[in-house]
Amino acid sequence: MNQAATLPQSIPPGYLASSQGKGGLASWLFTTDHKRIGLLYLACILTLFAVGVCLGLIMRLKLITPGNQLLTPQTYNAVFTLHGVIMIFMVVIPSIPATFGNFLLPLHLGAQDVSFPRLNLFSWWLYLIGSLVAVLSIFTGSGAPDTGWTFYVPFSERTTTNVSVAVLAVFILGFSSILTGLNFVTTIHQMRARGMTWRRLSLFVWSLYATAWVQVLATPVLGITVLLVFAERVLNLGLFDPTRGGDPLLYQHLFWIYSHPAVYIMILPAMGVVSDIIPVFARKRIFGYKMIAFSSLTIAFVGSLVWAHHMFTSGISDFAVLLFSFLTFIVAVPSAIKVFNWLSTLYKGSISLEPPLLYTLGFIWMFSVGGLTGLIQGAAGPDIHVHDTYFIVGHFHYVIFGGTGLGMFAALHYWFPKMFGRMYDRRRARTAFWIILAGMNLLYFPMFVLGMEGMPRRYYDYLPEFATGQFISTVGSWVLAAGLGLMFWNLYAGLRRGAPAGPNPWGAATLEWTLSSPPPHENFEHEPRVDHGPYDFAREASHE
Amino acid sequence: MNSQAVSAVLSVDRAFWFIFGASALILVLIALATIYFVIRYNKKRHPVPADFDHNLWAELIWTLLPTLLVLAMFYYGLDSYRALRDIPADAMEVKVLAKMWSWSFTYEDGRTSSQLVVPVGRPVKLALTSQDVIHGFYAPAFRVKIDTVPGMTTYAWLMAEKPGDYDIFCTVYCGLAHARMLSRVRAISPEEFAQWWAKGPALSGQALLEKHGCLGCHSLDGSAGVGPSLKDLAGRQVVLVTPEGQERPAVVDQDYLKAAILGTKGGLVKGFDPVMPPYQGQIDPDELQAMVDFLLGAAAEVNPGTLGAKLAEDLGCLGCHSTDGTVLMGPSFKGLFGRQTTVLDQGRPVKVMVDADYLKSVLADPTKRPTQGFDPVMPAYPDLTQEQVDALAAYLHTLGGHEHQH
Repeated sequence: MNQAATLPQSIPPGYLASSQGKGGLASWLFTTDHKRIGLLYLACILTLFAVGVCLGLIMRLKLITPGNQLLTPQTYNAVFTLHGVIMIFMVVIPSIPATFGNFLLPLHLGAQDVSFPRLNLFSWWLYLIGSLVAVLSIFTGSGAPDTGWTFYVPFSERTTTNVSVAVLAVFILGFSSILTGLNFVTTIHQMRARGMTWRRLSLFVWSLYATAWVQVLATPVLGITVLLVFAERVLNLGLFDPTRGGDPLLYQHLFWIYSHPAVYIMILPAMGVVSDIIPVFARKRIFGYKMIAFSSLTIAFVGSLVWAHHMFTSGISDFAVLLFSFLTFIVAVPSAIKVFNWLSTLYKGSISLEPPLLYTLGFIWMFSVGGLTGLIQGAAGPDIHVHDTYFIVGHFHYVIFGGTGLGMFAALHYWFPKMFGRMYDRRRARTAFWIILAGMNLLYFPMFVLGMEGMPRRYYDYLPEFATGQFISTVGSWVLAAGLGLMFWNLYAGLRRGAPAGPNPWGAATLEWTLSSPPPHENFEHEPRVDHGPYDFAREASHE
Repeated sequence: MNSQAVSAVLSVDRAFWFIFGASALILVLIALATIYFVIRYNKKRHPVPADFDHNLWAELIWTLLPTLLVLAMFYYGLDSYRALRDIPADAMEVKVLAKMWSWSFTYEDGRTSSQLVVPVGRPVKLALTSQDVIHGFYAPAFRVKIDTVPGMTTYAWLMAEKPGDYDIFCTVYCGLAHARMLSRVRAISPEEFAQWWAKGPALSGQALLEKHGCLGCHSLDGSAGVGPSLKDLAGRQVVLVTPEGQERPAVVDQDYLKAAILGTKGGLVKGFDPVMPPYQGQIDPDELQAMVDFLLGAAAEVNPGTLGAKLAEDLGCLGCHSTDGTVLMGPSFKGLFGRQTTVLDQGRPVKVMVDADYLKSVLADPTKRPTQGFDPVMPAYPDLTQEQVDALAAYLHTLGGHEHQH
């Protein structure tokens, strides 16, 4: 199929090099190449991720002992708000779809680009502007927002801090997400190469497809909601404020109608990454392809119906609690099926424990802990006890950082050679993984115990009885930071002077690996004709 | 011992441990399977992968079994939720008012407490609401959590089985001092509770007015309401309109007030609608006397300082400003009035005198000239009347620190 079975000695310029005399910064900032846009997102997201991590480390340091004075209460409240807003809206939601989705979707389909390349660039600009406005909200007005990333009314209407600007930023970021989703849905329907049937789509593409629908359908609700908060603050509208005849619970419904599906925007693409990586390193077709693809769609659909499980203590009716608790348990089933399918793919495979697979197995562990503790929160009675405590903080970080985060790192290690044409130090990548895994569990596991003991979240200080768990958690944050530092340094070193990776270092069967690493500007020289599924390794090997 | 209470905490814990146990088992199996597969089917040991990608029976089993399992979890979870929600009929009711950033508990006899004092072995029904933003009432020892929502009353119940102090936390983020919005459930033996109940401060006339809802329509500070204000009542001349439409003058005194409360004064104060219910038969003579004494006494010497103290409490000022010199979120009220303080005027430090004018400007817009050394987080109170501001000023005056003022 291609002549690059032996390791090349040099790296082709590919899309990273300037083309036809167009070079410099402008060729990046105004590019319509989906691969370059993917890298733009990656650069922004990793930068903001670093900011979010630093804010998290500061919070953990402040909480190391009860009565610690490192931050004033108001600063702490602003810091946890910023940590949440940055991590949720600017890092996790766009993380995998905007970077790897943009980079890989056309490659996986055998297409030249997404359906609307200029709209794609516009999405990135919206993302950039939204992020800048969010940063602006910290340094202008009367202080950084102090509402938490949830902007609950009526507090968010009354606080004198800069909430209006922050919700405007979220509004802009929401549009970026909607347009990306729109682009992906259209691309998957319209841009598949000849022979790329729906059943030959990679599971990563299936997960992007499910995610994109959620982005298109749910994000507008968030846009409207934050706009209404803005209107409440600026125009004194009185929709949510009970003293003016409004209903604060209405806000919570609207907010979670988006923000629960948003959790699936965060986790589904990571599940797609995992479903693509495991077969490659087990040298075996994915077990239950149809079930995994179908469960992505099921999760996206049922996941849109469970929002009020965030509101069991809010004063909603007991019947609503019954209904949403039931639906929440139903949505657990497709996630469980996925985990069993991944394990069955490993079963009787021929496994090489390369870094991408290692990070993937880390994902399965962390996601399982996060998912199973989610069952406790789905159960109406126990949720009353753990709601709004550290238990939730622990659960959420297991799912989102342990799940989506490790999924993102797995994707980074898997597609890094494709993106940059070079390989990182694999041994160091494994070392970094073990430090990260230890750090995460040390950081977040004590939170389950703290929550069970009754420690509420968003407290700048706590009673002495919670000191032990808080201390261990802070130590964990240092371990995690060290692991992250090592991992990113290793990737950076690989970027600078890693050995040339060749077109297909992992022996994978999806279309991007038929191209040079990094791929050329226009992707495929001729539109490929697809005659096999994404995990047909035996067939791929016989071609070479 | 009331078995329902035991079952509430126990049934939540049972549901928790059931889900936890099943989850832990699944997690261990997943982890062991992963490790085993990675070792057993390592490329070196197992160079040629098997070729299969589905198994109907396996897939059916791991779809159906988890479904049944989560349905069982759902059932236990719901069952324990019901135990938390089904309030025993014989429960003693306590009203809970949350405000930034304190709790206040009001009992059936009108007494209020900053701690939730409960007798051991007796179910207590909580009727909760909030004065400002959403808070969350959380007593972990009782597995009880419920949001307090302004404009809405939510319910919960708990029963202490052993005497002791149990934490109460606010769980819904509510601004600056959210982490300081703590209180306690103080569970005492029924005998001790009976004593506390008996010797608790007899209701003042003012508390009685509150208990019977008088203050919903009649203000104490002279501001207009549905009914006439109760300020400066003694000796006030009023015009009554009889049911026949005739007007006759009257002077407010003991007898007039008693008749007015009981609904037997035979006429309406001119200019007001006939909406006040008669209290004949609902108020015992002692209470009636206390209320009338208060009204006439309060009228004789309305103390703006007392009104101010009530305002400071009601508006939530005391959540951030102590009265004993402790520095909380804002400067302490103790010794504040009449003293120089440094504020930031457009970023520049300026010395100002804390007096009624300053107080008025701060209440109208606290962000304009924030006090140096404090975060600019105080909400504005632009709707206060001049009288209310004066009352607050008078209250601050009583807290000392006015030696420089002449």
